[in-house]
Amino acid sequence: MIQALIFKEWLKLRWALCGLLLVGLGILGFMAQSLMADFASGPAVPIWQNLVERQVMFFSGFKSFGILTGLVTALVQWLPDTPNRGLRLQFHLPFPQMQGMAVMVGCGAGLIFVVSLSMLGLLLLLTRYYFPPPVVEAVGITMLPWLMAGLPVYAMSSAALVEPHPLRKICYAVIGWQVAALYLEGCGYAGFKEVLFSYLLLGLGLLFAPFLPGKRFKGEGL
Amino acid sequence: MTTLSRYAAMAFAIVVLATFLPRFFWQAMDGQQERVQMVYSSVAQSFLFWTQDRYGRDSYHFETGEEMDRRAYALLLPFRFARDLVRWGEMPEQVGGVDVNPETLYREVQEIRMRPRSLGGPEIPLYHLLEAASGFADLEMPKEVLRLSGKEAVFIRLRDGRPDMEKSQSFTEALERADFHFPAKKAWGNPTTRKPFDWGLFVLDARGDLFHLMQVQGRAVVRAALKDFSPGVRHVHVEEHRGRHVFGMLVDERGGVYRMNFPDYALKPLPLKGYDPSTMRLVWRRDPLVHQYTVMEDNALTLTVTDHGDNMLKEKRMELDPVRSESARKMASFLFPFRIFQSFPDSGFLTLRADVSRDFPLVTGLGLFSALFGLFLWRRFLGISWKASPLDWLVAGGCGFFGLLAIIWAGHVPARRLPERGKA
Amino acid sequence: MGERIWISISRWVLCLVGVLVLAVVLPRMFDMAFKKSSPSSFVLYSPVTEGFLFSGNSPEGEFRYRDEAGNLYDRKTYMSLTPLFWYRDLFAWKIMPETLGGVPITREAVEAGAQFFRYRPGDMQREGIALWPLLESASEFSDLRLPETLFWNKGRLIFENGLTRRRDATFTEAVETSLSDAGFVFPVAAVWGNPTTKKPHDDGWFLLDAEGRLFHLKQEKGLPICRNTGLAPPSGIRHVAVTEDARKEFFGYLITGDGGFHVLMQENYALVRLDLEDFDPDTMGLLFMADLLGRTLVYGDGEGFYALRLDREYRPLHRYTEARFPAFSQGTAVARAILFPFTLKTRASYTKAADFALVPSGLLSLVGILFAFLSFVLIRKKMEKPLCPGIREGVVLLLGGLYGLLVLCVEDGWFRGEKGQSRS
Repeated sequence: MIQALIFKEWLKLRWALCGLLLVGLGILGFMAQSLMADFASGPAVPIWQNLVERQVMFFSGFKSFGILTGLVTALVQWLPDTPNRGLRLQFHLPFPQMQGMAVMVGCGAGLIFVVSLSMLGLLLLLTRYYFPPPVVEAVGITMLPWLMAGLPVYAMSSAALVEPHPLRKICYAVIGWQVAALYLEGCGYAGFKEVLFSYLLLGLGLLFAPFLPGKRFKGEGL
Repeated sequence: MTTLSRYAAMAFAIVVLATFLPRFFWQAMDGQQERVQMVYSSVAQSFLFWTQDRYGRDSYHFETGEEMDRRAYALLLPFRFARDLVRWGEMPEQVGGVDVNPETLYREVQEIRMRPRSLGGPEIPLYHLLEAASGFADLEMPKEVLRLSGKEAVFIRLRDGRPDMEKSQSFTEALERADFHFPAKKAWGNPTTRKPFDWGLFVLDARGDLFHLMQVQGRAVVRAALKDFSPGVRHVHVEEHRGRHVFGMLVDERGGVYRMNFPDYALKPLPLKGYDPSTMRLVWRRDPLVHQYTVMEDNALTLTVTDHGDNMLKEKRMELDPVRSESARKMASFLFPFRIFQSFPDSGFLTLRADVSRDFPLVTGLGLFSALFGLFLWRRFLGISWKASPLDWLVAGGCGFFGLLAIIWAGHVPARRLPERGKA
Repeated sequence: MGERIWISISRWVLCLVGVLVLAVVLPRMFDMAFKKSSPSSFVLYSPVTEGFLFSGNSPEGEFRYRDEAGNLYDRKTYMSLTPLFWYRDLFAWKIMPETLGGVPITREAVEAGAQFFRYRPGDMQREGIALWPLLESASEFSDLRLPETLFWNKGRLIFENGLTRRRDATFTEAVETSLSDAGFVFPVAAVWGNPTTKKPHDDGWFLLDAEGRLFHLKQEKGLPICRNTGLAPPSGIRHVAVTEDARKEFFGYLITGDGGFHVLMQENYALVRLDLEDFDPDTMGLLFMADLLGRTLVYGDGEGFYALRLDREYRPLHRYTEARFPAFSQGTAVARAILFPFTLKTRASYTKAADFALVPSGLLSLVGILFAFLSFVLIRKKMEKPLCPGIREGVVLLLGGLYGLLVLCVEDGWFRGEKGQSRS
């Protein structure tokens, strides 16, 4: 039963996965191209020094990628199920409803992890090709919260999509937006170094958010 | 309607492609030009060269190609490297028969840079007129802005956005007494406090005469700088310098460039042939002995040296290796029959401008033909009649590969349906 | 199994995150509306009046010059009382005294005696990218240039070459040898220096070894040179800053583990502890101003500032303390504490870094929490539900006060009078 549910999610999510990976690769491609041009035009040390001193972020194209990932995943996953009540059908399956919901949220979060980690990995490889290790480390720590922003966006937009009541829908959307803004607050390189774990916990904890709206969705009109 | 929106989408795609594809192409294909600086050494009485390769390594050469080290290079340029020479105790007491005093050298050496970009561009006709004689050593940004484009001078206080009537009236009267005709066409100044003193604004009045306007203890000081200047003033580059050698540079409407001397506003035409201020960059450098004019074009450098009496001493033109190889340019002509710029290079205006490729017409023609052939192959592959959407052929033939890509992107749906509809 | 647990966790998560978001957003909006920027004064020591003079905005927004007693001055008098700072004006007005405190005053002497540096609490925290250049300190040229390698600290100093983008094994080895020869015990605990090339000369880097001793590393003529400074304060070294200046009196300053602020002299690496009362390097910024006759230090935080005048041997001459105008009036401060039992701090106080910390507002917030409970009971009564809050409601109200009330209002559907919502 769980396998069937996972397969159903996979059918919905595979296009989101492809699209997100393509967008990410596109951003990486642009970045690689401009890095290549920069490093072909002069010595590396002034570029490194400029990056360190002026905190230039050559990878800022990824800043909203986490949000995009979360939003696309949530839309692709819940939109087909909510208007025509497909989700409610699932709740009538001979399978614990909230466990079914957990499988869905797990699949969505898994997709976000796969996309984020693969982009992070590729970005770090690219960075390592042009920059020394301290820059790679700083780029990684700077990029992590941007990608982690996908979790609250996914969780809260899922909650907003599933929630039947319009006022709560709006509240959840606003909460998701505000929490995501915390992850993107402008701070220089590696500004989240000390608090990365707290923000990760917050993001993971938020994954529980869609269950109560899910129950309300099921209860609606019964 | 479908056809129309399809062609609108294609036009949009062509604009986007013609803007970005050539840009990416040249970003990837542009070769590397070494950075070269050509200077004149009054000590060696010859030109010297400093080059920096792509790794940032410097080398220094004589005109003959003979290499020297950085120290020897500095020793030959006592006015540029005065600090080092003084440190080494190598500062000559005389160069070319002129006494050199390192303490006052900063007054003798001046450099003005002019770029095509600074020659106009959009601007707001509100000017900062600094107080030129406040009695304090530091200049301060004024607390009001000056508007001259109306029938009178108006000072607008920044604090509340209201005009300062009294001051406006006194400035208007002072300008009119000096035979200034409102409204001003344009004004030029150097609105920064990081300069030793302030020379205010040079204002072009309605009749095309140039006036020099300064604020001295809150009052206007106006002088007529140029009367009945027939070519007309296009631009004035004002730059305050402790030496007070020149007010700056003046560009006339015909592209002539002059040095405006202090204090009589006398115009000295620059001894430069073939300098076009709208496309080339100019560096003027004066030192105790000579004037050096460096004109920078895309692929060439020209250095003209004159003495203080503007007599030409030496001139050298140096061709630089073109950044773009011929094969890359041919390839670009083949692929891109034209490209679209969002802005003019070296200009402040934002525009959309198409630039048709003219370098290799034959190659461009071949490219257009290949695009047509590509469209033929694509239609054949999809089994679309060659009679469908005949305008497509024109698009591919006119816009080359941009057109082909746009057609493919816009899709073939209407092209396929049309014949079906015809049957029904 | 577990159905109820999923729901209950979800309900808790939604309530808590709602409280957290409100704890970020509401205080921000409150501060935007009510926080006043408290104007800070610029402090100068007057060798004429032998006291401090202040310039800056009064709380009413009026710019004024005053002394410790509150006497007001006009700008010219103020400047003539602080001649060593405004020397350019005083020399221009020809009113510079010939001697001050028995020291003859010349323009050169005043210029050569001036030095400034600033310390901020954020300087101590590391942020950004730890990648630095080891500049050439003994170049025969006066301008500093970036080297071909940059280094970082990984217990040992590792140099990477920018030409090859590979590790420079030779130089890494050479630095390691010079460190070991100087008696350095690895691993490198900290690295401090000034990585810019925009400074008059280079004083290299200071390294802390595993035993808490301070070493000095420089590159001279292409070779790494390391010296043991002999400094190993018992309380440890928290921070060193290198502040190169043409005066070459000291390398910079040093903060020890007990919060002591020291100047690190160029001569024999002597440490001079400055007698700063109540100085806390974690919360207070500091401005150091050297002039021909002595040193002025101004330090403080949002609540007040301290000014200290030292003579040229760093012996205290004069002290002054003043409280600042608070950012909130008393009423708004009380209202803020009642409304917001805590705020969620997402930005670090002194750096650009992010933070995640709950900042409680103090005991006053109990009033707000009590009010929240009362409102809860009243609403419940109106909705004809049990008056006693459940565990979740209790925790959310106790923790969140007003935030909690708002969250429960949305989460439990009070807005539409839902009945019988389950409690957890």
